[in-house]
Amino acid sequence: MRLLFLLLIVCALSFAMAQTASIFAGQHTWYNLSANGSDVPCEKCHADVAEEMEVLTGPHTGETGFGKMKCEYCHRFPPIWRRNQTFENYTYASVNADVIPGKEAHAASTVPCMYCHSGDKYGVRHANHAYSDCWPCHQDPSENPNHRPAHEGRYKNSEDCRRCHANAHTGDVYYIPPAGGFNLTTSASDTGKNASHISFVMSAIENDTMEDANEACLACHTKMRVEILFNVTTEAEITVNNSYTQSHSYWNVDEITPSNYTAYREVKGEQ
Amino acid sequence: MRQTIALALILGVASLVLLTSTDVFTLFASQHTFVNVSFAENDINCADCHHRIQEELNSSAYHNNFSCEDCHRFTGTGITFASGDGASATPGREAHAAYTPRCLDCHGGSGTWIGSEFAPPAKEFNESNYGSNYSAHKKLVLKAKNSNMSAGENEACLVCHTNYSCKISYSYFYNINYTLENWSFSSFSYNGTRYYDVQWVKSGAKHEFLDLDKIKCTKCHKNIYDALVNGTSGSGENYLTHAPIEIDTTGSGNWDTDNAWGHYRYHYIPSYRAVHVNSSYCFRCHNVDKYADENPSYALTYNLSYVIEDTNSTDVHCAEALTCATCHAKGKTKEVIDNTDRSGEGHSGEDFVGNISYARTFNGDICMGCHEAAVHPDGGGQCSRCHKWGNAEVYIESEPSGYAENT
Repeated sequence: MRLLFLLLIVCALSFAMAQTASIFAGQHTWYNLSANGSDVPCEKCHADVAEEMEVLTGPHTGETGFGKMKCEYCHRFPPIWRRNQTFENYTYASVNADVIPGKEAHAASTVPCMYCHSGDKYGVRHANHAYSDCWPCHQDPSENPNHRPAHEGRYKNSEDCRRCHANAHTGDVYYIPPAGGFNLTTSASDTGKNASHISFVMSAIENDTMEDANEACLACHTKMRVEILFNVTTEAEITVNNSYTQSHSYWNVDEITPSNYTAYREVKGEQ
Repeated sequence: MRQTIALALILGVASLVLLTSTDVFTLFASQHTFVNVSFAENDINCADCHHRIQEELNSSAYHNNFSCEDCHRFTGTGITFASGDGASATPGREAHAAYTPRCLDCHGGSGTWIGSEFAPPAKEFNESNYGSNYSAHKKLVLKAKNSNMSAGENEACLVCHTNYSCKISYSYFYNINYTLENWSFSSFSYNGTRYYDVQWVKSGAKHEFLDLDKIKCTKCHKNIYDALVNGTSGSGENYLTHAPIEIDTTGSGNWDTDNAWGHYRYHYIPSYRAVHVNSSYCFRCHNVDKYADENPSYALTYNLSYVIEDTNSTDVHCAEALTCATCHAKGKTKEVIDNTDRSGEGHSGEDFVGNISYARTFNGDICMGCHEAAVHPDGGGQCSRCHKWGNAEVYIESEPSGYAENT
């Protein structure tokens, strides 16, 4: 009887209430997309990534002395002149002076590390020590046709430049360092012929879990947990034959092959 | 009923939370925590992924005080590795983080200083074309160089100098027959093929380097060890081959243990043969220079400074490929001479040993066909057959059985 009474009160209130409550609060508060850059806060959904970006000061996270990189530097990657041209350049959806619909990606894409790290220039002091302000020179070509615009006009202020191109130790401006030594950069001297990890990198490229060689890059250059199953030889099998006639003989080592493989597991960060 | 309602409520709330949650979780956590690589040294800890290698090195006799970078980012080869020190960055060229070094990168040439540690040259193998052909293991090094199993010649280094195991399958002749008439060969033949497998089982760890005295010749050359220690059982003496005239006081001959050169028999193996046949015993013949160096009093007794000149032991890595003639041919320090305690000249005074023209692989067994203790007749008035006239009809098996007949 009491339950019936309670239900009646709830029904009466619902019927009489002028306002309805949306299930998803805030769904009608639209972001303004007309400003430069990405106006949608990636951190809203990717709070865990934002937290990770604060854990260490390193490449991409404040090593330049000008704060961590913005999400769009990597995930809406800009046109880069000095890079391995096999990497595709994407058109993302954007609204600035014009509305550009996305083509290969809308808001963001995952990015191959080698997109930015496959050039052939590195570590030089900029001719003009353009540490204080990049913009007077690297501006929109329509305003200053004598200078190459930064990333084809993608960025509009020096702060963006500094977060990637500053060197906190020297005060210089530097090119993004190529990840040489795997024969994947545009440098002719990058042969990678002695690289121990080249098979890891090549397998990562073939594997489609992540973009390009990212599995290999991240395994070493981040604190990402990595579990490795090694399968290693513990023995060499050697075939030694004595060749002989009545008057002449010699010993010959005909074959050396790896054998007796054993498997073991390494987990990065567990020891 | 209440439980069902509670469960339904929990599921409903959980679904609503999931539906309205704006957080997504990254598939590979921590992929945005980038390691700072701007310090001068290597900032990425190799042992994070190669912990087992670190453990191997910790229990290694050598290199245990080296860092990974000392060997795997060795700069003496001209390889450019990726590096940076804050002020500048160098992209890698031939390698990015590390390379697999050849042992000879440090142990070749005149050796190398790694910090305050000197990596000595690997004698002979440090030279062009790996030194002289007298090095018994040169073929192994050459094969290792041409195989694609590891960098450079490393397989050859690893099987002896580390706990990396090895299994060797040998094949060689099974036996020879020959007839000797007045110190001339009137017939000679070789027969059959002996297959001999040996396995030196170790921990398998390639980064556990062995003390030099832990490298046992007899582990890989067990057929020789067996020939010297076990052979084939005989009624008086056992048939033991590879080192000559092993008659001892247990036999009916009661031979003395000194010899015509006036000293204790060089090749003699006293009791406890299993113990006495060791690397040091091997070096008596196969590396006289090393043996003399390690046994100065014996060097004096046996005039080893002169014997060394007869051999090529200063030109080998660890062992010399030789024949009996290397030391006992005419003109050598230990050329065959008469034992004045015994009658008969044997083949002293002539270069019987040096003139054996059959393939060198048969050389030792030709000598052992007469110099094996078990084939020595126990009296019976046959001394002159060999010691004077030089007549013998011999059948002898290769190592390890060494069984022989001499009639």
